[in-house]
Amino acid sequence: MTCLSGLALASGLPGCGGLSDRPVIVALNRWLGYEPLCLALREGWLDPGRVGLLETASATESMRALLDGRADGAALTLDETLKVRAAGLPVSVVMVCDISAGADMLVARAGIRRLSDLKGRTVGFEASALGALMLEEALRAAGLNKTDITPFSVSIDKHRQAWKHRQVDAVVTYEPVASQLLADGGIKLFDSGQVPNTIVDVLAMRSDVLDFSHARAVRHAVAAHFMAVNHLYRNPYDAAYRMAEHLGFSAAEVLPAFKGIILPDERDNYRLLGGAAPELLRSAGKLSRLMLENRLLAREDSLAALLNPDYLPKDF
Amino acid sequence: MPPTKTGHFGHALLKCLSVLQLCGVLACLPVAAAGESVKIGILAYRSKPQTLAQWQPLAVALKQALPDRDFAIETFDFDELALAVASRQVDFVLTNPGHYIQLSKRNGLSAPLATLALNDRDPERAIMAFGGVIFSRADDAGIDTILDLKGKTIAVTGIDSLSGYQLQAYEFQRGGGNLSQQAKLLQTGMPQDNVVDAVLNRRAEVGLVRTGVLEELAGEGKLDMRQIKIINRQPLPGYPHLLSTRLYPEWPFAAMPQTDENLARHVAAALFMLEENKAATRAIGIHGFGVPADYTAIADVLRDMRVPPYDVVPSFTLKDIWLRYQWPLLAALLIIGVFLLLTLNLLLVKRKLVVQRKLLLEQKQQLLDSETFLRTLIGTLPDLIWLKNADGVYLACNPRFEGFFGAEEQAIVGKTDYDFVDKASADSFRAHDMLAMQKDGPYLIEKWVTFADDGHKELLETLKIPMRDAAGQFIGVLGIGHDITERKQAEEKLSLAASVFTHAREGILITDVDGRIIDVNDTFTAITGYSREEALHRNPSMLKSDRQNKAFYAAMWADLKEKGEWSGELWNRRKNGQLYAEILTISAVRDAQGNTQHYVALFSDITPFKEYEQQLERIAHYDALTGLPNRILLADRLRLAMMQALRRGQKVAVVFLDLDGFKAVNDTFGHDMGDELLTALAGRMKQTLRESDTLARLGGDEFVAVLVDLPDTEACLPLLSRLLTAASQPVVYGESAMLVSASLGVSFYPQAEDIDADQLLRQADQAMYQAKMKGKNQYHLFEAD
Repeated sequence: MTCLSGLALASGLPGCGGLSDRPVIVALNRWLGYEPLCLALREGWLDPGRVGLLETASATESMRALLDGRADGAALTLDETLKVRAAGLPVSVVMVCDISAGADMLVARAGIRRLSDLKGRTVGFEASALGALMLEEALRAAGLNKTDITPFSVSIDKHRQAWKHRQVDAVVTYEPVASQLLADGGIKLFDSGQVPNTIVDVLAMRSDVLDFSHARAVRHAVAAHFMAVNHLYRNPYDAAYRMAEHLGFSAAEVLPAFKGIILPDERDNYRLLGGAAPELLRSAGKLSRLMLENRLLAREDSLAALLNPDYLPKDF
Repeated sequence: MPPTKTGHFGHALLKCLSVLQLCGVLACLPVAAAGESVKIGILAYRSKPQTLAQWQPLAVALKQALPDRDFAIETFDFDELALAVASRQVDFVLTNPGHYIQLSKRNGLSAPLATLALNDRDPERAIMAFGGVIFSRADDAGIDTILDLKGKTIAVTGIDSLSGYQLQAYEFQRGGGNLSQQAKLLQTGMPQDNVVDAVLNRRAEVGLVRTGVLEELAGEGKLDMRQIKIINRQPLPGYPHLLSTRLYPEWPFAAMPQTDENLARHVAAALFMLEENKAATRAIGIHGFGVPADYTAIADVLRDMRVPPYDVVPSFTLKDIWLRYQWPLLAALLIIGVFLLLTLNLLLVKRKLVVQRKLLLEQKQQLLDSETFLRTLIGTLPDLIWLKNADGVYLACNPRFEGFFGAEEQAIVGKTDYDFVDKASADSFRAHDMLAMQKDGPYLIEKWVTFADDGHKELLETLKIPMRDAAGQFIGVLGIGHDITERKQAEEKLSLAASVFTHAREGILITDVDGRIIDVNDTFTAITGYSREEALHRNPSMLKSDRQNKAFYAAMWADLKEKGEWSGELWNRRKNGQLYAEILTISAVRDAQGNTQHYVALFSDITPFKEYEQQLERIAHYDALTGLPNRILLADRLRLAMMQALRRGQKVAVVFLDLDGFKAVNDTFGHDMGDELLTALAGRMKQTLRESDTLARLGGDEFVAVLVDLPDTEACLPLLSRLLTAASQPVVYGESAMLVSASLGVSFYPQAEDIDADQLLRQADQAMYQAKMKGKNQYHLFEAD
């Protein structure tokens, strides 16, 4: 009966066998928000035969894999997603992995007590939309503009180094580097918590993969993510120990690290992706405009078919 | 529970502390002001004394924090603790999470006030999670993975134990099995040391204990870790203990519902601060107490395992069912709805069908009856009935036809004539069929056929007619054979009769009962001269001649009426007035009741016969040459004359006449001339006699004359003279003249004595001789001497 109704209504209930279901490959780099998918794979909630995880070193590599066709989807930030679309590959967001709520922050050296004190200083940031966005928001909050500071482009893996070598006075960084810098005496002047729902990590799938034969696989990936998130909430200790090694933290560091991000559940996802006026669409529009201004996008994204809530679980 | 440091010092300290505790308690007793001691019930998974000793420092620490209260530690096993909670013997509870949830559900323990924190490898860090361990003997090769637990004997403290059974069973269940059903459980009871013993002593193959226990026992020297191996080991490098299951939050510290809220709050605060009290924590062997964890994960496990307090199947309200299975239910309802509709439809259709069926059965019965009737009809008909298709294959036939072929209808249908009769007949049948089809109308033939069943023959009048159905489609050629043997015979008889009637040499006349002619044949016309039309409706009396008198016809009619027939001869008159003689037979034709309906008259024209008769008469009585009566007629005439003479009283003279010299003439002139002479003389002599006299020739040249109506003997003398004269005249024939004379002898009748004709003739003959003696050409009268 379940099978029948499943078939009839294409609700994607497992165990019914599909008509030549095809697997999908998702590229993802190491990041807190994407860890649930990796946990799901380790715990057996994610079937590697249906969804293959392609671990990459960075989001850039994930993007390249997506554009090359080596991956059918990728875990990316929203701005990275827009970049991919601008590059000519139509992708859609099927799930919001996490929302930065403080994990991204502006850490300044001791001595710079207020945002406004940044004037005339060197501020490091990743040359990504995230970095640009954070910097802009921070400057706005500071009441400064770009010309008041010396922007210094530095990638995340070099943040620690730059800090040590005093190449920057402040840096827009994120976990886990952020915690490290704070431990080094840095002061958090601004964080993403002040710009909610802006820095969003999503699972973006190529539009041509969002067809009937791949539908089950995509739904499986999404469902596995939520299963892992669910485990994290229900049994955080167990989840923490299990994620520790892959994340490269100690078990005790895992849970605190997760404090900086929100992992939206199924309901939250529906709110963000679905309905008549999805919340994420507003953020995407703002991001698109920002990226255009910073010349990170050639032109504004039409946002057409950007969000696709159809692959979220129907029962939760 | 944390590993205990059981050194001398600790032991002694513990002893002192417990004594102090006791004193404190005793001391407190009479003083009511301080209140009762606060009892903390703690689950002992090692031995109770051991656990009590371990946790004594907590009571001390709490006393330090809350000086105006006394605290007492009490250790229990599962059931004892449950009882204690139920009977409100304790104020606070520290037990494993599963047990906590159970007690909480039953007795309403508070939400956890704090969660136990143990020391990590680095004592600065705390572990707030624990799990279960599965182990077996190291040398036991048959057990490597959790699935190998199937069928093995597993030592557990009890099935209520969370980390000593339930967590491991849950792991097993995740693999799809049911440990309690698929393995043998050996329940050892607390402490968990018993489990290790059981495995080491081979009473069980597998043992289930809490994380840390094995390390504790090893630390106490009671276990050589090399003796055992861990099953389903979880590779979590951050976790300091051996682990076979998932990790779950450590033990909760909870308050009883009756516990004073203030006390609970202060105790909670003291617990959180405990980690500052290094002495205490070190003594107990824990890190401290942390923020209460979320035990939902444990609840989930218990629920999945269906163990208390979730051993009751959760009431799945209808709403839950609806929400969970919305779409399948809708689909099912839809399908059921469709199914019901179809069933309803089916029932309706069924009802309709039943009615239809009934109707059809009736119709069928009617048809059967009709068919039976028709079949009987066709079977009863005395005619042969058959049906062949356009190819001459039999489609059906009736019982009479079966007799013809000598086979049953089943054997005939499907076959052709060629299978039953000779080729010639079959060919002719076929030819007739074709003709009928060509004509597309009835075709009649007569044929003699032999019936195969009994060999009798019949003349069949066969009607062949193409048979078409209501739509006008050609079905086949219908054949109907009617036995006309008798009719034919009757026809032939009739035809024969008619032929006889027409062609008979006899004239046939048929009248009705009143004598009116209703039919005549051609011979009638030939004889009577009247045509059929002239004769019809008239009476045969039109043919009457005068020859018969009334009496004759009266007798005829009388005979007819009486006997029904009459036959005889009569003379009738033809149309042209000519008389003719007929021999006539009249028969009366009677009907079944005996009433005369017709008269049939058969007659033949015997006029020629009559003449012939006369001729015969003549030949019988007259001399052929002269035409004179012969001897026979003479005798007759003489007799008559004699009778007449007697009656009239007259005399009769018999004259015997013999010609003289006749022989000489015969010899001279030949017999033919002699005949001529005789003929001439006969004529002459006859002329000399009277009408009533008779001159007869006896033969040769002998004649006899009978002279009648003589008054006396002398009266005949002139006649005699004339006779002599006539005989003596010469007869000229051609160029010959012949001359003879006659000698006459005469006798008379009646005489004195009776005398018959013969005697008379003899007398006359004698007299003639006398005449001849006397010199011929004279007469001599007989004298009776």
